[in-house]
Amino acid sequence: MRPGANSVALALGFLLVAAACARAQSAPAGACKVNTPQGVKPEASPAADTTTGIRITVTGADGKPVQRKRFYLLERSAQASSAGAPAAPRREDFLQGASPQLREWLARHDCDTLYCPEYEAGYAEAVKTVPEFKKAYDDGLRRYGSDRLALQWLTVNFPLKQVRTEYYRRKKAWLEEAARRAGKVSSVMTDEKGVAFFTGVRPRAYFVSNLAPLEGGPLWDCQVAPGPPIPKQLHSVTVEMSAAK
Amino acid sequence: MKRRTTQLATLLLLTAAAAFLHFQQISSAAPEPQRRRAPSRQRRRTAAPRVDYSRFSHRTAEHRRESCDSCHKSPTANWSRARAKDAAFPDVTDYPGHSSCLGCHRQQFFSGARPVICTVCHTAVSPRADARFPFQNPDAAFDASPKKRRRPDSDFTNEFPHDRHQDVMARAVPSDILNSTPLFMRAGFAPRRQTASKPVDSCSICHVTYQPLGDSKDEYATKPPGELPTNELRLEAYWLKKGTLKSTPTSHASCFNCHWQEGGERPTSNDCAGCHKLKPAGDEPAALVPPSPAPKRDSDTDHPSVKAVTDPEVFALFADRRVARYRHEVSAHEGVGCTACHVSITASGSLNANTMYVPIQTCASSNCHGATRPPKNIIFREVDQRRKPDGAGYQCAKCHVNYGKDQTPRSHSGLFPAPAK
Repeated sequence: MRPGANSVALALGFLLVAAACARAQSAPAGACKVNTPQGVKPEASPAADTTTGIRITVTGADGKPVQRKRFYLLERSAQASSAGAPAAPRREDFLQGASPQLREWLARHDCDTLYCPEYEAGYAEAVKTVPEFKKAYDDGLRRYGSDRLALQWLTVNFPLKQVRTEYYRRKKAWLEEAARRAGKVSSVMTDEKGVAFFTGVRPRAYFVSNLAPLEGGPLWDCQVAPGPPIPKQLHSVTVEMSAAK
Repeated sequence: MKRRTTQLATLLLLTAAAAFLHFQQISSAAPEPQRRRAPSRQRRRTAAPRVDYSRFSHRTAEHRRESCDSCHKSPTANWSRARAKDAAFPDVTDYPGHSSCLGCHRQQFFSGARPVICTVCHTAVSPRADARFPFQNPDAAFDASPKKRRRPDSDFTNEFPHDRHQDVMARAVPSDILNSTPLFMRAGFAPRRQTASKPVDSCSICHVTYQPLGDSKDEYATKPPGELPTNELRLEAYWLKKGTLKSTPTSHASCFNCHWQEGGERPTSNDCAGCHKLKPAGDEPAALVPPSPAPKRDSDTDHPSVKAVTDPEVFALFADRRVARYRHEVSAHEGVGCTACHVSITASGSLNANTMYVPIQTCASSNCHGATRPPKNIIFREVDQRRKPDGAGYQCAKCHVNYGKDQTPRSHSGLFPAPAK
């Protein structure tokens, strides 16, 4: 190989590594605000084995709750623990072979898989407009001889398995590894109001993070040190997580 | 001569004695092995476990060695007839065929005129009678059958990872990005109904309100005998109300639409052991042993109003409730969403008592029922009523039925210390 070609290869390699790093770090940092419930006092002398809770509230850049997202309680910072780790999988990488209609249909919905509760209501329309759903419906109709079953079991016969759940599988594996690296204590999912509770938590320092940034959204890595339990409250501290507008 | 005769007689006597002893030895030696074998055979007979072939157990070592689908075919040939037409789906709805058993149990199948093994499935033992007990799935017919009374419990528990199922429904895109896409909205001039915000919850895919109140004005599950008496705090005597309970999946219908064997997610419908796990050996159902007295429950399952609960699964969950009176279908309760109270569900990897547990703090937080002044102070008032000189006999009735008669636990009284005087 000529010296010139060596330099080009080296530069290309450097660019690829830099791009990978940039992709991993491109997620904006989410804002964290830690506060204790107002007007309440912690227990005066809690027992040695006492536990408490951490309440999290998560809002997106539009000020609306971030719903149905998993957050992790960690012993170490997610950001610091991710050094040298591969980038999180992206949904786009699992859409190979998908028709433009399917891509457009998925873009209008916001789910990691094809199993979102909101999807079922849209099946009857989707089988008319999206080729993959039409094929799944036709296969179901042929197998079960029932229009109802063909629609209800649409995902069973869906032809592109990697579109159906592969993104979720890879992301789950990635998250589990990232959580292990950061010393996972537990994980919870936000409800429709963007709220979740970590319960049975010993009062000491932790980090709360979503580990993998939402697509186009922030990565939160919030430090929190819950105090002793507060009477009547499930939690002794609230972590308010928000995204920059 | 006389001496010779005496010697001869002595010799004959000795010979006779020797012969007698010899035969005695022989006669006593001959049956000895039999006597030894006899007790050993008896020992073996008592040591060998007596198999009750009228009771099939999945836990038997030989049965556990086989895979589930070596006996259970999925779907069975009768699936389309096992349920009403608009509810039918491919499913395991019939017993395995005789061929599944004959390989090992030929001897039991052909023992005597009425082989007891036939009673596992058949209602009558006769070469001409082929009637069988209803199969355990679908459960409605089975639950009403004598076989259900004979074997009330399943050999299995169900494994359902709540967290994983919630994760597959996780959102991929934050709401602000999704909302930035222009969408056409349906417009109308009908006046909007004033209702509390009702979150779309993924829990409601499987758990819906049982006997909901809806728009009905009759709030009780069954008509009460008359006006219900009230206690010192004007709380009504117990009578089950509509919208109290939640249903739970009782069939494969909510599983197979994603886990069907022809292309669905794992564990697929033909991998029974993927979800159904054998109970530990100690949990072997013992139908002939009378059940031990149940531990005290909050629910009064013998209450006349509870007869309205006809679904056995819903009834079982109701019986285990710690807070028998709680109504799910109240706008304030619906507005907070399921995981606001069932706080540990999204952290739980399996079905267990934790997933049902609701810490009292979720109710007694100052926002809802935690105040010490009206109007949201009912827990405080009940706890305080007990502290009054004549209040020891007060029965807490806002949330509880049977537990309301017990002493106030520290978990409750500690949240509401006696007001300073």
